Amino acid sequence: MSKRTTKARPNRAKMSPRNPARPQPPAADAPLGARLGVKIAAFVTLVVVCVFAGVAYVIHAREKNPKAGKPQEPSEQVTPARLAALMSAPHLLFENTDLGPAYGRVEVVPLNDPGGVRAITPITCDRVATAKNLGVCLTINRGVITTYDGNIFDRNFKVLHTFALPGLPSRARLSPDGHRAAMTVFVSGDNYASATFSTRTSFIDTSTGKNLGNLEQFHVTDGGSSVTSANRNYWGVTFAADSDHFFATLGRGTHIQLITGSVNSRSAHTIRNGVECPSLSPDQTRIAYKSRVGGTLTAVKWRLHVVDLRTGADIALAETRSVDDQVEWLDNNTILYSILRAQSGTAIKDTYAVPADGSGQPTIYVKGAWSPVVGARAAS
Amino acid sequence: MYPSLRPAAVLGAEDGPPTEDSPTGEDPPRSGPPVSANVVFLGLTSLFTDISSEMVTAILPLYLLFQLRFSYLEFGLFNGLYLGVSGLMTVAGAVIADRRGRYKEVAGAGYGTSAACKLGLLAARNAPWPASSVLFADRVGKGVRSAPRDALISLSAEPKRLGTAFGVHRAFDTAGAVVGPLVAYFILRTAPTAYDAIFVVSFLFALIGLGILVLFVQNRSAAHTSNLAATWRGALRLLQRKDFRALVIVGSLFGLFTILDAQLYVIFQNRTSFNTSYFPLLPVGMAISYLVLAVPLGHLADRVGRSRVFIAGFLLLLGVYLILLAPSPGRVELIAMLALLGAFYACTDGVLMAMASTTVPRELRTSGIAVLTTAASLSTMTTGIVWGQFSEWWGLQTTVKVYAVAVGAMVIIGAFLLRVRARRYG
Repeated sequence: MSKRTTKARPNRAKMSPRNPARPQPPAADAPLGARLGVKIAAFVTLVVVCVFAGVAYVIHAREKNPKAGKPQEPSEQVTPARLAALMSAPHLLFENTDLGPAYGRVEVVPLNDPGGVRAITPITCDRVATAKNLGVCLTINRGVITTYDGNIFDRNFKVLHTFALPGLPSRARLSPDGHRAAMTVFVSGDNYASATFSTRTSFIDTSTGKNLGNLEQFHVTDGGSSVTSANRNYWGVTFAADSDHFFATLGRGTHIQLITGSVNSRSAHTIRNGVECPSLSPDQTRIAYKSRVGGTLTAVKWRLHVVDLRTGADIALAETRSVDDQVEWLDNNTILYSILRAQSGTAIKDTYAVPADGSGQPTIYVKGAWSPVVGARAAS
Repeated sequence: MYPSLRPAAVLGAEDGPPTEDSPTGEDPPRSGPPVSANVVFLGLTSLFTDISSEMVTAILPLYLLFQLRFSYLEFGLFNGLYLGVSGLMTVAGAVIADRRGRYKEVAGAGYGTSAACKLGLLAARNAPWPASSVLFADRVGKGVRSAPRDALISLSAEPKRLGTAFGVHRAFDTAGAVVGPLVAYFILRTAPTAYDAIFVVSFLFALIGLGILVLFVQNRSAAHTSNLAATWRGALRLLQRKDFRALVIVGSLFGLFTILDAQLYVIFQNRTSFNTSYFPLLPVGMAISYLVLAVPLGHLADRVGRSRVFIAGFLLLLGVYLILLAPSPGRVELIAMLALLGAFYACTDGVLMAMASTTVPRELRTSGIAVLTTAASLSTMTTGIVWGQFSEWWGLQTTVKVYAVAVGAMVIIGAFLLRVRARRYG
C-alpha cells in the first residue's frame, strides 16, 4: 500500500492547487498505523457518547409513555350491568387518549353528561364504530412485525369475528342496521415507490365476518366512463339510512371526488369534486367533510365543510384549525371531530363540537377522546 | 424496503481488455487478506447506516400517519421530479469526487445528509415544511453517497477480487437491514409510542457509521497518467466505450423485466391466502438469503467470470417467476422464492459494480458508477409503472408469464452482449 501511495503522490500534487511541496499528505491519506491510536480513542469516545445518549434518551422517552402518565380525566371501571345501561341510553363511545393505564381503551359517556365520569369498556381500539348493538374495532399490534386486525363485537363487548387488515387502520363505519362494516386502511408497498401510501376500503358482513369486497372491485363511473386508473384510491365510507347506499371519496392523484353507490349492486358513480371523508347527517340531507387546502409546498391542511345535497350549497365551518378526521354528527345541527392537542408532546387528542351551519365557535366536547361515535341516538 | 429499489444495472467500459499491467489502474495483484481493511470499514459504515435507516423505515408509516397526520397524497406527488433531481445530484457528486479524488468527502456528505434527516423527521411535527422534503433529502443523500462509496471499494480491492470485495460490502449492508427493524422493536417495547426515541437512536447509529467513515476509511488516489477529465461531458462520454455501454444497456434492459420485490410479494399473496400483515417479514427473509450468499457468489464471480454469474442471476430470477406460476404455491414455495430472490441479488447487485469497475478508468470511476446507477433507477421506476399497467390489462398470471419469457430471452441476449464466453469483465 505504501508503495502505491508514494507513486501516486506526485500526480496528486499536480492536481491540487495547494500543492504540498513538503511530502505531507492530506490527513486522510495518512497510513492507518500512524495515527491509529488517536483514531481509535476518538472512535471509542464517539461510541461511548452515542450509547450513553441513546440509553438516556430511551429512558427519558419511557417516562413519557402515555400509559405511565397521570390521568387528567375521571375514568372508572364499571359493572357489566352499568355499562349495558349506559350503552342502551344515548351515549358517546370513543377511544380514550387521556394519559394513564386506560390510554387506548374504548370508553363511554352519556350524552347528557359528556364531561362526566367515563366508563371504561373491556376493549382497546385505534378506530371504532358502533350501530344497533354491534361494533367494529380496528387495532394496531405493534411488534417486530407490526400487524393490523379488526373485529366485530356485540353489545357486551364480546368479540364475534376477527379478521386481518392489510394495513394501518384509518376509518371505520357501520351501516345503521349494523349488518355491514366499512373500513379504510393505509397500505404501503404495493406501489412502485415503497414510500407511497395507497388506501384500501372494504366492506365486511358483520354476521359472518366475511369480506364483501373492496371498492376497487366495484364498478365505479365518472361521467359515464369507468374509473380504472392504477392510481385510484377510495376512502372514508359513510352509509345512508337504508344501509345499502353509501358515499365515499375517490382520489386519483390530487383529483378528489365524492362518489355514491350501492353495496348490493357493487357499483358507484361520482357526484361532486373536492369532498374527502364524507359523513352523512342523521336527516340524510347534508354531508360534512374535510376540504383540502395547501399541501404542495407546505404541510397539508384540511378545513371542515358541510354541503347540502339538495341545493349544493357549501359552507365552511367555524373551526379554522386543520382537521384530519371523518366527522361524526352529534345531531342534525352539530358535528364532532378529534384534533391532536397542540404541543402536548404526547398523543392526546380531544373531541370538539362545532355547529354544522358555519356559525358559532368550536368547543371541547370530551377531552382526551378520539374516534367519537354517537350511539342509541334519539330518533330524529 | 430498499433492496427492491436496488438497480439491476450496469457500468463501465474500456475498449481494450484489462490486462495484468492494469489499464484500469488498480493495484497489481498481491497476496494478502481477501479484502482490504478499507472495504471492511466501508462495510461497517454501511452496516451502521443501514441499521439507522431501516429502523426508521420500520416505523415510518405509523409515524407519518399517526404522529404527523400525514396524507398519503403528500408522498409520491413529485416522484418524477424527485427522481430527476436525485439523479442530477448523484452525477454531480460523482464528478466532484472524481475530479479531486474526494470519494470519502462526497460519500461523507451523503451519509451526513441522511443522518441529519433523522433529526429533521423528528422536528417535522412542528415544522412549517412538509415531512416529504426531509424524506427527499434522505433519498438524495443515499444517491450521492453510493457512487463514491462503490468507487472507493473498487479502488481498494485487487482487480481479481472485485466480486468478493463488493460481496463483503453488500453482506454488511444487508445485515443492517435485518438488524434495524429489531432495534426499532426493542425501543418501542421499552418505551411504547416513543417515536422520537427511534429517530434519536437512529441518528446516533448514523453518527457511528459516519465516524467509521471519517476516522478509518482512507481515500484512494484517483490520479493516473491519462488526460481523462472528470466532467459532466466526460461522464457521458463513457457511454461511447463499448464495454461500458454494453453494461448500461444490459443492466437497464434487465431492470425493465425485474419485477420489484414488493410487487412479487403482492403477486404471491394474490395466489395464496397468505396473511398480508406478515409482509414485513418477507424482505427480512430475502435479506438473510442475500446476506449469506453475497460473499460466496462474489467470490464465485471472481473465479468463473463475473458476467457468467451475473447472467446466471437472471436464471434464478426466472426461477422466482416460475414459482409464482406454480399451481398452488405454499410455504415451501415461499421460502424457495425468498432464497432465490436473495441469491439473485447476490449474483447481480455487487457483481454488476465489480464488472463496471473493470471497464471504467479509475479517473472516472465514480462518474461511471453514477451514470450506471442513475440509468438503473430510471429503469426501476419505469418497471414499477409499466408492470402496474400491464397487470391491469392482462391480469397478474399472464403478465408474470410475459415477464418470464422476456427474462429468458434477455438471458440469451445479455450473454451475447456481455460476450460471456470471452470473460470481458473478469
